[in-house]
Amino acid sequence: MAGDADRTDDALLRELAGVLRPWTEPPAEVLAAARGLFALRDLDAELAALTYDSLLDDEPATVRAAAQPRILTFTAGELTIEVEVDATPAGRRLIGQLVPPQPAGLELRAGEAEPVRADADELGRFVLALPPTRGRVRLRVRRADGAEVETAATVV
Amino acid sequence: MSVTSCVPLSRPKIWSGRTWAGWVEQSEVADAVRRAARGERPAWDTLVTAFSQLIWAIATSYRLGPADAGEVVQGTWLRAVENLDRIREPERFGGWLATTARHEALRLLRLRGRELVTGDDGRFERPEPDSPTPEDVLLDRDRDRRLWAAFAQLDERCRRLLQLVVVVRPPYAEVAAALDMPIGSIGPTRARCLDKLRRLLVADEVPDPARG
Repeated sequence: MAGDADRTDDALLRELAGVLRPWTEPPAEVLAAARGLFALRDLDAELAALTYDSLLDDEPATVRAAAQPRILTFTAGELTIEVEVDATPAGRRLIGQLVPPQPAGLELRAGEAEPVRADADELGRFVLALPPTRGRVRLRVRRADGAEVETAATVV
Repeated sequence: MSVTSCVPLSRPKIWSGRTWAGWVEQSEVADAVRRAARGERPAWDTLVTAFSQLIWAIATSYRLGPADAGEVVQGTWLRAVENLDRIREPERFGGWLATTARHEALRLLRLRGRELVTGDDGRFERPEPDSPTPEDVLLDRDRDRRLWAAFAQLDERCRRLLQLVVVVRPPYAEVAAALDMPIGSIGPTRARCLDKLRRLLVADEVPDPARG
């Protein structure tokens, strides 16, 4: 059709915007949930940012993903929290270590569920049970001096 | 300062006729980020309204379905709320969000074991079962159907780019961040992809992928 060739970029984009709307318009409930997240800004603990995620390690991701365990690193100042998602037929676990090594109290929070607690030993090692299905979790670390650190909420 | 102060008086020409509540001037983004960091909820709401389309579009451009796309939006804003106090360049907030959204989308994709093959330039096959299909879209007009059919034949890279440029405006810093491309190449790539789209449209008969 002759008309198609004449469409300017802007006119074409405008039409495309209409056609692609389902892929560009988030549902109202998604927006409402995002607005509600503002309540979380008053964290009473220092945030440990997610600084490494083996899932986003771009090297041979396609080969790796299925075979290799997921490894995550969180960092808050000098404290590093390294964890590995260990999936076994018996269930999923988070195996981790605090660096530098130190004892601490740990609390894993997944949604509204009751937090799962465990202690890190003198070498900073810990194991926590994970919910059976994929979901967003936070790990809170209560250090010996009482200071608290909480990891960025991450889907595991 | 009220929320409405962040809504622009004029929208770019391309958007005329669209109801788009989320438009925020670039210069107001940094201000909204700072105010949100100080605890002003209306500023946060403004940011969410302004950028959620972009995040949703990034998520669906990786062919994530509505549930996963919602998870990407949630995860991206969660990252934002966690980091509000430490965003160093608030004027680049949109780009930061776009990068974060891309990471969240890739994380979910890979968690699901459906990685995209690097350099995937394949044809658009059937949409994922849980993603919107042409039938879900109210494409009343024949021209819209043909446009969709032509779009579906574009390579992955063009589809992703065009899907993002319809929700942000030049200079496309957010698009560059979302696609991990240099900002200078967005404009030329956009032009090339639109040319391809136009060529597909003018072809006498556009094959309909839905009919195989």
